[in-house]
Amino acid sequence: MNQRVKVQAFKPANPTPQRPKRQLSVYRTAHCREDEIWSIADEYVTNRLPNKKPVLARGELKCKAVLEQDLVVDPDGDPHPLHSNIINWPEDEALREAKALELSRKAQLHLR
Amino acid sequence: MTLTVSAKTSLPLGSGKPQTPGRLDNYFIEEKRAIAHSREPESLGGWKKGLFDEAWSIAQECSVPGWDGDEAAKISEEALRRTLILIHTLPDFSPIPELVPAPEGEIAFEWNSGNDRTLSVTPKADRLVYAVYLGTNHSKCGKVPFEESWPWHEDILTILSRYFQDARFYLHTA
Repeated sequence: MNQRVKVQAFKPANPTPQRPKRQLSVYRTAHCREDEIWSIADEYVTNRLPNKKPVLARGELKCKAVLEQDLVVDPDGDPHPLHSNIINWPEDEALREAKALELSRKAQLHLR
Repeated sequence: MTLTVSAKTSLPLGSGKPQTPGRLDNYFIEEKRAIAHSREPESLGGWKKGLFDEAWSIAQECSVPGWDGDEAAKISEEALRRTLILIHTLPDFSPIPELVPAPEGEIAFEWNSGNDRTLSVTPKADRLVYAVYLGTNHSKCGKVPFEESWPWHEDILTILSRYFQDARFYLHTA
């Protein structure tokens, strides 16, 4: 297995009536301890998974890498004070694939 | 500032067949059998069979909306069917891809080589959306037609044959 964060982990879901703009859910963890990060993962990711399987890995990247792709980090603080959305995704699906690929290349994989 | 994203999709999503076959299983089981016993070269150690099983597992695990804990679309039977066709028709020279569930409800193909090269291909109903990084100042993205009679467009096959020929060795030794 290749130990990298996959491209698809950085792609937003399709818009829905409830969420008309594409957004990728992230957490601002620069000042968090490891156990705090995994705690957020358990509470706000695992608990929302249909199968409740624990999160086994995460990807980290600098905010600068997001901005370099002309994307925007929107700190909405919902459902957690550190929660943000990466927004401003292009309509062109090939460009979204390319931006997700660039983010994945800049990300570091952390295994639990 | 450091951003963290759940990297669930970078890890295997279970393995093997489900214990209780459901509608999705019945729909594809004959096709899967037929494809699994098709022209896969013995010398490749059964890697296409492994991919079929993996696609099957991903489709099962991601068959409900929100499988990523967020707003991901479910992976449909049609999306699984496209994936099986693409696995079946991968040419013998192809490096082994990794299959990854995509939040739009597809199963994407990803290749990484030891030379820091990455190719990602997301199948859609009538097209393949791809992006590739081949080095500094050398990347591209695009869309090519997807047709069942000729699933892999020559643009993608050219990239695979020219830039990813070490990927099979790399993946086996990583």
